[in-house]
Amino acid sequence: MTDNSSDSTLALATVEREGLRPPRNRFVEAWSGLSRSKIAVASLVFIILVLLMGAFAPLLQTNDPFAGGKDALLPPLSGEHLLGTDHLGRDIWSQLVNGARVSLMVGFSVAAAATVIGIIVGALAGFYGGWIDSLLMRITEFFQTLPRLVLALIIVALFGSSVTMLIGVIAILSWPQTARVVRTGFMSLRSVAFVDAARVSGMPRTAIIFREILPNVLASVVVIASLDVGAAILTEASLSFFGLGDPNLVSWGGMLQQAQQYLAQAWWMAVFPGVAIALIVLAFNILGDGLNDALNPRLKERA
Amino acid sequence: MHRKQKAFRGWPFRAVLAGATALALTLTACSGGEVKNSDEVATGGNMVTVIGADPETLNPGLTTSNDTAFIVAQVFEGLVKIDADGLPQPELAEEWNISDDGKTYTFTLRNDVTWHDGESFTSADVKWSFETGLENNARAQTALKEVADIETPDDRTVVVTLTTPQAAFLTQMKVFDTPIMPKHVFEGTDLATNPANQAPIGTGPFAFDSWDHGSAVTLKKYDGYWREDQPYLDAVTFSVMSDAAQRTIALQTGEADFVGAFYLARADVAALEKNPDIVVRKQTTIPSLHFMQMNEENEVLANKEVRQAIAMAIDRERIVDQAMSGLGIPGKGSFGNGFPWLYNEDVSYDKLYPLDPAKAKTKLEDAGVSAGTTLRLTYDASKVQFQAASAIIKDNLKQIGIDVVLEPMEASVYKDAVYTNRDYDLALQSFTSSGDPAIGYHRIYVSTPTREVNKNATGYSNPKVDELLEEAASVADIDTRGELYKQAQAILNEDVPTLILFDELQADAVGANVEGFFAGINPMDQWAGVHFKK
Amino acid sequence: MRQAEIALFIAKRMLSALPLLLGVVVVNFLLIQLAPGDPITVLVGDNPVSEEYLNQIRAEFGLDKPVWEQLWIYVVQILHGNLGTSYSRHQPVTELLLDRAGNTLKLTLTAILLATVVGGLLGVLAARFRGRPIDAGTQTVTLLGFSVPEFWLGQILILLFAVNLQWLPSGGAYSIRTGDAGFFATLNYLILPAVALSFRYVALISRMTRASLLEVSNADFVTAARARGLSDGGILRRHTLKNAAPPVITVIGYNFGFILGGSVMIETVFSWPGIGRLLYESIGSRDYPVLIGILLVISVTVVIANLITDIVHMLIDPRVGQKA
Repeated sequence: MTDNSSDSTLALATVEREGLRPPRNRFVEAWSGLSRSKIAVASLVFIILVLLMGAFAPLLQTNDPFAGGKDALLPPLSGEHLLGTDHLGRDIWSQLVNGARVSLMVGFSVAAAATVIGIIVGALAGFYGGWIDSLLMRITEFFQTLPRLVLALIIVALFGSSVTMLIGVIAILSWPQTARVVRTGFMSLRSVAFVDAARVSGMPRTAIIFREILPNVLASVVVIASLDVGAAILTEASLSFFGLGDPNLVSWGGMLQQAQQYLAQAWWMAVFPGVAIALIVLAFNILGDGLNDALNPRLKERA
Repeated sequence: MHRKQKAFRGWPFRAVLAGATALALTLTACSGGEVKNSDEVATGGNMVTVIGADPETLNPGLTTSNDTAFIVAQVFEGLVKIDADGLPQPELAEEWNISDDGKTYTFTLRNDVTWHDGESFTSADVKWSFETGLENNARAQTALKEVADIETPDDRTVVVTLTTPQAAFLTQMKVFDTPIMPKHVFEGTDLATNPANQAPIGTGPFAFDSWDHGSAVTLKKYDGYWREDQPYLDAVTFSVMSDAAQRTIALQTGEADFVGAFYLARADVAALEKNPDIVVRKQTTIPSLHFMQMNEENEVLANKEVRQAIAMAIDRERIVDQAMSGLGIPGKGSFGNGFPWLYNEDVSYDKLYPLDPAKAKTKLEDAGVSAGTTLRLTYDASKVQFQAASAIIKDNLKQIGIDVVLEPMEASVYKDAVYTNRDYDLALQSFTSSGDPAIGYHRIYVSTPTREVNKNATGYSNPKVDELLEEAASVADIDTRGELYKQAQAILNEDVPTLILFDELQADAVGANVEGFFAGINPMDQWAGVHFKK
Repeated sequence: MRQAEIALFIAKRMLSALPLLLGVVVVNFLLIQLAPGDPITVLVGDNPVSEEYLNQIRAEFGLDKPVWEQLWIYVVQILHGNLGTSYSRHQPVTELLLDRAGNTLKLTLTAILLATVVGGLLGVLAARFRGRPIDAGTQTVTLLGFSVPEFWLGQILILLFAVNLQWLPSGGAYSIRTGDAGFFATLNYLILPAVALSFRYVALISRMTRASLLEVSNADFVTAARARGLSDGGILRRHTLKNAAPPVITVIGYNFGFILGGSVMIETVFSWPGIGRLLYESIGSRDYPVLIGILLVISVTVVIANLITDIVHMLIDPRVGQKA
C-alpha cells in the first residue's frame, strides 16, 4: 500500500464523476500521454533495463554471489571486485545483479496477487451492493487498519520466511486500495446515471460496461498496481532487513541487513543495494504517476 | 594477549632485564592475577559496567538470566570458586573432603563470614539454599540433581550425599551455579514477592545500594567482607544499555569501565583492540562448542566416508574469522580445546581433516555421492553467528559438489525438527559445557534411542563410547578422566558423527586503568580484587 | 440540527470501530495459537534441565489449557490491561510497553512536527513559485521520499553524520552518564532518527499542501479576491492556508499506522529504546507475548487514530459526512 492517498482519492473522484466518455483507444491514449513526460519514459526504460539485468544475472555476475573467501570487506575497485566485497568475501556487484531478480519477482508477484484479490473483492462489493457490500467493506477497512509492516514482520517471524510466504503476506495487506477503486467503478453500474445513459444513448448495457466503466476502472487499477510494485519492493526490503528474508536467495534487503553490523567499516555494503532499491522504486513511482496523468488527464489540470 | 617483547640488540643485560619486565607485565595483564599487596593498589572509586536489560529480579533463586547473574556474582558467593586452571578453590567453604566412593562431600565452612545485614553465615544457609532457595534456578537444579541428602552436624559443616558419584559436582559449587542465599531472610516467606528480591542480601564483597529501574543498579563496598582489605572499590554500578553498539561506545568514551563478555558485540572487538586505552581479554571462560550434527537417517550422511569428506571441506578457520570475528578456536577434536587436560593431539582434526576441498571431492565421488546432491542445513534463526557460518558452509560444500539449502528456524520449531522429529540433514548447534565436559558435552555423543531435546540427534550410537563417557562422568581423578576422554576422542574423531566447528572464545573489554580482574573459568566473580590504577 | 448530525456521526463511527477492535484481538490470538513450536523449550535455553521443571513453567504460563479457555482468558486479561508476561524477560508485557511508549512518542511526534513544518513550507513554496526550479526541486524530494527505504536512509545518515563527520551520535537515546536528563540534553540523539523518520512524510505533506493550495487558488473566491487587488501573499495568508490545513491533518491521521511502522525501522537502525526496538528484539528471541502485545497496542492505536481523524475530518469538511 502506498502513501499516495491523495492520488487515489482524486482517481476515485474522477471515476465517480466522469461516468461516460466517447469511446477511444485507451492504449494509444496512454502511450501518447506517457510519452509526453520524458521522465516517465526514462523510468520505463530503467525498469526494463533492471528486468534485463535480473534476467541475465548469471551472465552479468563476475563471481558466484554465494562464494566468498578470505578477501572480506574489500572496498570498491579492489581488483576484480568492482563494488567491493562483504564480510564473507562475497562480491557485491554479483550480489547486486542477482538481488534484482528477487526484488522484482516479489514486487510483481505481490502486485499481481493484490490486484487480483482487489478486483474480485471490489467487483463483488460494487456489483451486488447491499449486505455483501457492507461486509466486504468492513473486511477491507479491517485490512487497511492493520499496521502493515508490524503485522508482516510478526507473521513472517512466526511462520517462516520462504519467498512464497513473503509474497503472500505482503499481498494480503496490499489489496484494499485496488478493491476500493474497483468497487466504486462497479457501483456506478447501479447508479442512476448509468441507467439513464443506457436508455438515452440506446447502447446496450454490456457495451457501456466494456467501453466505459471497465476501461476507467482498469486505468486506475493499473496506476495502483504500478505503485504497488514499488511499495512491495520496499516492504520486502524491510522484512529482509529484519532478518526475515530467505537466506537461500540474494536480496537487496538482505544485503542491507548484513551491512548494518559493518556500517563503520564497510560503507559500500550499505550504499549500493540501498541506491538500487531507491532507484527502482522511484522508477515505479514515476511510472505510476505518469500513467495516472496520461489516463486521467482531468486530474492533471487540477494540479 | 599483548605482545610486549622488544628486541635489544647488542645490549644483553638490558635485554634480559627488559625482557623479564615485559614478561612479568605480560603475565600480569593476561592472567589478571590476584593482587595481594593492598598498599600497591589505589582503593576507592566507582567502577561502571553494563548489563543488557533491567533485571527482573535480584533473587538468584528465581532466575538464571545473565543480567541478574552478573550482579548476583558480586552480591552472593558460592562454596568454591574456580581458578585459571579450572580447579576449585575455597570460597565460602574453607576445605572439603570427598569420600572414597565419590558419593559423600564434606564441606567445612568459614566461620568469619557475615551477611550484609550483619547475621552470621552458617551451614543452615547452605542446606536451605540447596533444598529450597534454588528450586527454580535451572543451573542449580542441574548441579544438584543427584543430591540424595544434606546434613548439617554443626554450624560449620555441611555433608552432601549423592546417589551416584559425580565427577563435576565440585566445579558446580560456584556462585554462577549455586549461589548461597540467606535462610533467615527468605524462610517462611513467598520467594516470589520477598522484598529482598529488590534489595538482595548476600555474603559477597559488594552489598546492594540502590536500583533505579530501567537505568542502573548500584552496589556499595561491604565493610564486613571476609577477605582482608578487600574489596578495593567503593562501589560498582551496572548501567542498563540494551544495545551492543551503545555499550561499545560507552567503553570508548570512558563512560563504562568494563564490558563483560556476554555484553560485548563480537564485531566490535577488532576496533577495541586497537584502542590503547582499552584492554581486551580473550579467554574461554566456560568452554562451549559450536558444532554441526549430521543425521545418519539420511543415507548419504550415514556413510562415514561422506562425513569425513565434509569435515575436510569445511573451512573452520574462515568460520571463526568471519562469523565470529576471530573469537573462537577452530575445531580441534570431539571435545574442542576448552579443557586442555583431555585434549588428544594425536587424533586431532588438524591431523585427520586438514582443509582440502579437492581431496574431499574425490572422497565423495569414491563414496558414490553424485554431484548436485542436496542437503538441508538447519539452524536457530536467532543465533547471529549461524547466519554467517551457514553461508560459509554452503559455500564450502558447493565446492565439493553438494548443494546446501539453508533452513533458519525459530528456536522451538528448530528443536522440534531436529530433536523430536529428526527431520533434518545438517544442523548447527551450540552447547555450553557448563564448566565440565561431563555436564555439557556428553550429550552430544551418547546413544539416545528415545528422542530427547538437546541430546544427540544424529542417531550415532557406539557402546564403547557410552562406556568411556559414563566412567569419565563418575571418576574424580583428573588424570584418569583425561585418559578416558582421549580414548573416546580416538573413536569419535574418526567416526565424526558431529563435526565440531569451533570453541567459542569470549572477549571482554576493560579500561586500561582498571586492574585486578580474575581470569578464572568464570570472570563474573572475583571483583573483590579489582581496583583502579594509581 | 447540525449538532445532532455531528453527534450521530460520531456515535456511528465509534460503534463501527468496535468490530474492528474485536477483529484485531481475535487475529492476535489466532496468531498465538497458530504459531508453530512449543514456546516452553525456548525459555530454558541450552541448559540441560529436568522434565518436572519444564512442566512447572508450562503451568505457570497457562499453556496447558484448552484453546477456547485461553481465548476467553486473553480477552478478559486485555480488558484488565494485562497483556501477559514476556517469555525472555519475565516482565509483564504492559510494563515493558509503557516503559518504552514514551520514547516512541517522543520520536514520532518530533518526526510529525518536522514533517509538517518542513513539508508545509516546501509545499507552499512549490505552489507559490509553481513551474520554477524550487517547484521541480520539491517534486524531486517528494518522489525520493516515497522511494527511499526508511531504514536505509537511517543507515546513510549514520554513515554521513556519525561515522564520517562525527557530528552526531550513531545510536541510543541518551548517554549513560547523564541518563535520560530531559529534552534538551538528549536533543542531539533525537535529530538523526527524527529526520530519517520524517522524510517520507515531508514528501507526502509537501505534495498535499502544494496540491490543495493550487486547487484552492483556482477557486472563485480567490479570483474574486485577486480582482479586488489583494496580493498573492495576502491571499495565501488569509484564505488558502486555512483551506490547506485540513487535508494535512487528515493525511497525518490516516497515515499514523505507517508512521508507527516507520518508527519500528528507525528505532532498530538507531538503537532507539522505544516500542519498535522492542519489537525487533522480540522477533529475534521469538518472544510471543511481547510480539502479540505490540501488535495489539499498535492496531488499537491505529483504529483510534483513524476514528479521531474521521471525526476531525468530518468536523472540518462537512461534505464528507454525507457520503457512505
